[in-house]
Amino acid sequence: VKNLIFAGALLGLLFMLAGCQGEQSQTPAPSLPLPQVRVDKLPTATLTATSTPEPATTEAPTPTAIPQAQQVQPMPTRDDEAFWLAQIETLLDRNERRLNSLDKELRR
Amino acid sequence: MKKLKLLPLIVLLFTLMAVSVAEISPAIAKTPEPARPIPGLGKMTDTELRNAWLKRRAWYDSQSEVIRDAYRTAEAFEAYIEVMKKKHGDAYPLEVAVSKYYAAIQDAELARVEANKIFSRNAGFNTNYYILDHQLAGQSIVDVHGSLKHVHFILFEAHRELRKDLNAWLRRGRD
Repeated sequence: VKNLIFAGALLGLLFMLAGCQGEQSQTPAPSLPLPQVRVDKLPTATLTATSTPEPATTEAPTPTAIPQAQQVQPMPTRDDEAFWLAQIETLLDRNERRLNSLDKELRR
Repeated sequence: MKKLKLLPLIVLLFTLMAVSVAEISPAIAKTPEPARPIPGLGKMTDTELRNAWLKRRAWYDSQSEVIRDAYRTAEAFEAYIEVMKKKHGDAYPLEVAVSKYYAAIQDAELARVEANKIFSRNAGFNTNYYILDHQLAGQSIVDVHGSLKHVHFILFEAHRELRKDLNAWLRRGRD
């Protein structure tokens, strides 16, 4: 009978411990992912030699498609100019906003 | 004899209790952390140091995004130059502007190597960015801050210059 009581107490204690552990594990340890950039291997716009080559396309261009592509050289329209200007403005605005907000954040 | 049989069980019980108390006690203790001085940062607690480190890491990640967008901006700028060349025959000021911009991005990337090394060393912190050594952690923050600030100024200046050059070109077009 005593053994049973001890075994019961032991089980109870184990359940308590399990409960405590569960509570602790529920709070996730806050962490940030490791930097995406490796030492001495910063991302650049140019492709590196290690990047996987694109699979060669099996479909050969149709003979009529090539001269058409060579012939068509459209003059830039006002739309092209406005499009690229808008792109540049948007990207510049976004980057400047990001840099400014970081400036404010760090002064706090 | 019966007591001797129970002895291992009792020992096990006490061991388990000791382990559980050791695990739980720091969590319930909640003693206020001491703020200790760090050269260049003033008095800081471990939690404050950890938050400062996480903030610098977020800054570093944000700079990665800025650099990625900077390359996109440069590509868009090149496309715009092509359009302008077809239209005017020459877009030399824009070509100079974009080459200056590219050079600045590359400078920023080179300057980031130092910050990258400091983050990789993670000196004074464990893998979850909790403090292992107060002084060393503080020094890491001071060092990385200087490096990130340098990159920040390069990027800031590069964007300002590009906008200035673009505006000058657009004004010239209107005149």
